[in-house]
Amino acid sequence: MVLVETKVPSDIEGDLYLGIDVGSVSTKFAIINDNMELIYATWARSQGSPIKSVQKGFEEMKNSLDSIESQIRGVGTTGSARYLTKALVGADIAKTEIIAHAVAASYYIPGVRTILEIGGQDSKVILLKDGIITDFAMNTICAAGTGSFLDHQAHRLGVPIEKFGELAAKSTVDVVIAGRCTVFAESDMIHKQQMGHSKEDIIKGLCEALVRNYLNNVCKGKKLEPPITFQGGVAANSGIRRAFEKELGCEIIVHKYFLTMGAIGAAMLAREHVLHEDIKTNFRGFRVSDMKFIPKAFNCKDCPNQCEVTYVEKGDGEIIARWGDRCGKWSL
Amino acid sequence: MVVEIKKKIGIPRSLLYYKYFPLWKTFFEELGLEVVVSDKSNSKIVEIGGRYAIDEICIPLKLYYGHLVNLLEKDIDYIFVPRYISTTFGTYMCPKFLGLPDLIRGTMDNLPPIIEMDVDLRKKPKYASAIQTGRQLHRSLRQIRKAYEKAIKTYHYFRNLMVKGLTFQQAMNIINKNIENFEPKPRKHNGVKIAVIGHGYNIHDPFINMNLFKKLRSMKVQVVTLENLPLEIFKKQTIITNTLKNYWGNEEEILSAVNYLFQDKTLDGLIFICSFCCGPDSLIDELITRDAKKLNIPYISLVLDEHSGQAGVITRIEAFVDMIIRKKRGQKITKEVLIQTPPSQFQG
Repeated sequence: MVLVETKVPSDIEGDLYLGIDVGSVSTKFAIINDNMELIYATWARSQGSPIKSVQKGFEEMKNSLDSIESQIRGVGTTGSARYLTKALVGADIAKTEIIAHAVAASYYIPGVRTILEIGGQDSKVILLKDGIITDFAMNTICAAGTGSFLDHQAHRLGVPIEKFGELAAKSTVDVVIAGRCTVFAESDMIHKQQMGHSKEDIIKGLCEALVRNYLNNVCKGKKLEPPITFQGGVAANSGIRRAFEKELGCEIIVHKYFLTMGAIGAAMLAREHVLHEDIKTNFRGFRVSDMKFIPKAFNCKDCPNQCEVTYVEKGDGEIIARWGDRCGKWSL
Repeated sequence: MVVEIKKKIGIPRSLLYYKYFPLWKTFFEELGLEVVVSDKSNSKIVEIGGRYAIDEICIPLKLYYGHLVNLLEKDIDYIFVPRYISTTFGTYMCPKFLGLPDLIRGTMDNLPPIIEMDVDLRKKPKYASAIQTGRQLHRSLRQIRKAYEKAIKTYHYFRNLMVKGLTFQQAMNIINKNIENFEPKPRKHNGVKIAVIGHGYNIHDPFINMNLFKKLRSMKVQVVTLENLPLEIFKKQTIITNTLKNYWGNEEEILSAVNYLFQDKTLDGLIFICSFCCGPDSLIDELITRDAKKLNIPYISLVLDEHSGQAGVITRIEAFVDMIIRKKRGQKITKEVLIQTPPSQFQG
């Protein structure tokens, strides 16, 4: 777990808002106060099930911030597991990562026009004007421009992904690697190795391949105006950032909260929602960490679709979420 | 008393079913046949369709094969496979429609007799197509004329129901229940208005588009489809540039609709649905993107195939609608709730 930000519990006053971002690779928590100040933020790799990762996050909060639990007035979730997380913790809203990232970025980087967001399994570009989203795009049928692409290549090269940026900086020669497809990138990478190129040059080539792929696929036909910010797990990789700067010809801002921007955005959206609708939160409290949630599934045999219906049962047998059916008769 | 057993004609619930079914249904029923439709698209139909069709073809055509196989289980005497060549002057349908009966004959050999109908308004009037089809069923000219006139009447009735605001499914229910002179009540909306444009077989088949309409309705969005627009807008040919005219029939309709919608000040956004591998759609997607950008209208195109993940589609739609709602609310929301610019010490 990475502790991005934390304040002393005794200093924390007033209403608080919690944001949870559960993505494909990592789980992020953030708490803000009514003045939008960040109180607490963590990032951790999701291990196995999203339910366990969320519970683990709550356990950590219970240990360090137990006294502030009653101050939480609203909870928001985001990321690909936003609905599951919402059901688990009793969140007030679930919003897409696109909205969450945009809201947080436009707060921390006033006037931001372009957000490049590259996560574990998908990548996005968000265009804004005056704090309002005007356009966005996501990767479609290809994962070549995402964090998993790099993870894969790092594994093949036997280099820890955290070292990528550092090694890429040592490169002296430009090596072009075909980045259209992960499979062909590997073929090309092996070819370049066999030609005698150094690891550093190949790593830099890979970073540039990812950036090229991202710009050609995700940002196709979009005008990326500065200021440009780079968020999501891959922004930790300085090699990618430099490749973006080279390709776009302008400074790329990586904010110190880049890892948890989605969770911060979710907290901001929860605040906005609770204040706007004037509602009381459904939040179950930090005890979510001790509750029993059992994920279950079955194949509905009622029609040829044979949908896989999944549901989550609480310890007392109450079903808190159920989905996966096309017709809607099981959905809760 | 002798009970006449009607012969059954099967119609796949696929492709132009989503456009002309009321017409076909009335025509064949008036000729004394029983019309049998395949089941709603489901995973099994997609899977079987994929087995018959070549890999590179679009998903709507793969589904067509699946629906044909589904019909075979329904004990039918004939199967109706029309050949739509041109439906408006100066345009052609996609080549797959031009060769549909031949494609089917060439790939499937266990079918009952195929009843064809060639529609080519460049060369012959609609009535001639009706005679061609009626003759294959050994009906007299008088019978065919009567059936044709009734069919055209039903079709206009169906189209007008949708122009008055009914959804495809609602209009279909009225046709299937033979309710005449139905007057839809005008519905009031005061929310976000989004147009969903594309081929009928992608728009009105919830299986292909992953229940897009249900999702949009759950977000309280008013949805407009191509069929809800006034009929006269489809009568003029669209012009792309001074020298360039559109060539494709279905796309002509889509472009007319988009041109009309882009002048509608109450429109908040446009979603274009197209199938992976669709050549004509990929061309007009680019044209619409450019126009939307020029006019500053939120636009998104969703490309669908049998491998499309539901998560990706839902995230896109949710973000698209939220983007529009936030934009609209941006002016209205109370000050203290608005996200304000932070004090300088928080700027990274």
